[in-house]
Amino acid sequence: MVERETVIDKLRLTYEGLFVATDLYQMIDNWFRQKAYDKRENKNIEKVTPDGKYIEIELEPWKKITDYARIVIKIRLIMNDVKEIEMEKDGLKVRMNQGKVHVVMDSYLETDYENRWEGSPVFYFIRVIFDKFIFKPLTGGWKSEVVHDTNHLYGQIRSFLNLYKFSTETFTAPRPQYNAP
Amino acid sequence: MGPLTKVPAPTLVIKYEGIFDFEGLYKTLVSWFIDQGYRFEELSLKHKVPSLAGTELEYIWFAWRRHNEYTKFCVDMIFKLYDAKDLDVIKDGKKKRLTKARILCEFHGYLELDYSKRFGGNKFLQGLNKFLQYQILMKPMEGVIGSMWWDELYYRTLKLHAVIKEYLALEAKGNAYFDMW
Repeated sequence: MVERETVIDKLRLTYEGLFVATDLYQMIDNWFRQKAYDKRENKNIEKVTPDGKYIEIELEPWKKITDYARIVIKIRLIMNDVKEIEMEKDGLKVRMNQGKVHVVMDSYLETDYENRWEGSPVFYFIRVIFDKFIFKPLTGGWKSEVVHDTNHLYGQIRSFLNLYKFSTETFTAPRPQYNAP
Repeated sequence: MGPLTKVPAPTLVIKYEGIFDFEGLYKTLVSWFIDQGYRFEELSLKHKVPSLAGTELEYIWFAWRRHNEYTKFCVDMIFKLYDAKDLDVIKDGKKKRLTKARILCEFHGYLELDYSKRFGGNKFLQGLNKFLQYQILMKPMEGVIGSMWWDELYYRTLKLHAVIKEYLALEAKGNAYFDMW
């Protein structure tokens, strides 16, 4: 079975104000394309409610690193009370959205996604030994790539929503792993 | 493990609640399939007795297209409308009949291998098919049998997904992968 390790768990971003929902979606979609991810859109829900639109999108694109490992970034966008408004900007009328945006990101490192090492107990044993002792430096590098990609996308979304000025925290390293005593 | 006959692609889902032109959507979908060279079949249509909330409709569609002598692209579509009510709307001075409903639209794309059953005759042919799939087609194709065809099928289905999003004018419309196939 595919072994999925969570590298970044529930990275959240909340925003309320003006934005363009279509541009936000297209920016994320383009980012995944540029970074050579394969597209996967699990959910796309849109409801028109009296308070505005409710939009829920779940994307789960993946990128192959090797035949053995791949990166998966799961991003959930929930937009509430999205209303369309017209604004005047530099003398031109611009259509924008106003509402609440909630973004939740999870990143995973999936190994043996082709299920090549699950044929027999011996294979599984070899795989575990390789993962624990031989591939460890490689796995560390892959995890850094997962973190880097997730942070980059997170930064792009934040800058899109013009949130940089409110932020001081950065995420640069994978979560420390604690071994049970 | 015998030779494979089906290689599924991830299911794509759209949910929408609001007012839309159902007749136009239906025609757009059918013409998209025909433009892309698919055969389109309406397998079933269920129409429940309308209640106070509205009508419930369920369409099951199946579209297929021969890709080569060995492979066929297939898309199963389930299209459900809940609480559907017809509304007369005046747009640009013209009266137009639109539908207010909740939509659930699911696409299940899959590759059908050896659809003409050329390798279905005897044990030798079945073994030959298995050898073809696991030793010849699989090796350059990253662990999934027929993954280059799979890729094409998947990205073409995503295009259809984008067409529906565009038609319903969802906020999350657009497809950065429009030039993949």
